[in-house]
Amino acid sequence: MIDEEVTAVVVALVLVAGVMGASQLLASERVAEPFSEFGLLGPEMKIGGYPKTVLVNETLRLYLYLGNHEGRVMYYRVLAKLGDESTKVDEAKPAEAEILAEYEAILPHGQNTTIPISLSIKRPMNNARLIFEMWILDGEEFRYHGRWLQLWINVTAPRLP
Amino acid sequence: MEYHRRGALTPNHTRRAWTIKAMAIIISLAILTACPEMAGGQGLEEAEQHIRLVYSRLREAEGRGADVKEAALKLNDALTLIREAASEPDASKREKNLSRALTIIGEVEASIDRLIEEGEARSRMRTATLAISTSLIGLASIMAYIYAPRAFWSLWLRARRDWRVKRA
Repeated sequence: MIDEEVTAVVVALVLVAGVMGASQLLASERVAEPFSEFGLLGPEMKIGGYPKTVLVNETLRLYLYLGNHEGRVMYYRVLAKLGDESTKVDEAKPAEAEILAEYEAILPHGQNTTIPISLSIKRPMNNARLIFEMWILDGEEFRYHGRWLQLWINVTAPRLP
Repeated sequence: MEYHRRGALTPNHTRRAWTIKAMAIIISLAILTACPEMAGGQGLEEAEQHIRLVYSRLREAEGRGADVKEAALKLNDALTLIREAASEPDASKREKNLSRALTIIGEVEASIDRLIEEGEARSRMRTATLAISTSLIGLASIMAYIYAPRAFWSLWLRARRDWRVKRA
């Protein structure tokens, strides 16, 4: 016959282990707050060192950082647009501006990627805005995901010799 | 003296029409050859459509419990190859990239059914584990209800067995 005290201790251990195991199992596949990471890195692949002035047609090398914490696989499309001070963009509405380039990535949950980008602007501009918008594939169409970034830049004409 | 109906073509007219047609065909071919985007555009578009279709199936599989991490990363590699193909001026390299991308997409597509089966098996196992854990918790709670008070009081008494009760 097993001692009652031993039984009680074993029961308590089983109870604690059972509760912990069940809670882990339930919490493991749940994403409390789904979100996507979206960042623009400088030429050194760091936050900072962004160019402030470029020449017309000069290649601008930057990096896009994307991270998926949405709890499911995601198909991202990033549109690089060229705007100015008057260009309107917010979480609800994408910018109505010229598209310079587009980049795409398919990421499973918990993964991230860094995409090298090369852009050039074909005309001189003061206070130009390089706007990057995150879109996601929703069904058969891409839908604006409400995340956007911008880089203010001056584009100067090259000096004539 | 020869007369021709108004609007009818003379041998000279016919020759000129053929020359124009031939030139148009040659110019079109030259443009298609010179413009890689146009020549490979259809292939790229098909690859893009295919990748989106496979992505949709992958999401569906994920919803049914499949672990799609590896497959999604492979699909991303295929996407990169398609993007590289789109900007590749060399037709042979472009075709090579596209063909590799299509192979990868095909592999991912072929693996989806297996992933779903594995996911469903994992889901069943998870449900069983959860059911066993819940049963154990229930059983342990009942046993704790029965044994814990007795164990508590016996421990309490044992801890105080050397105590002496004095009359106040």
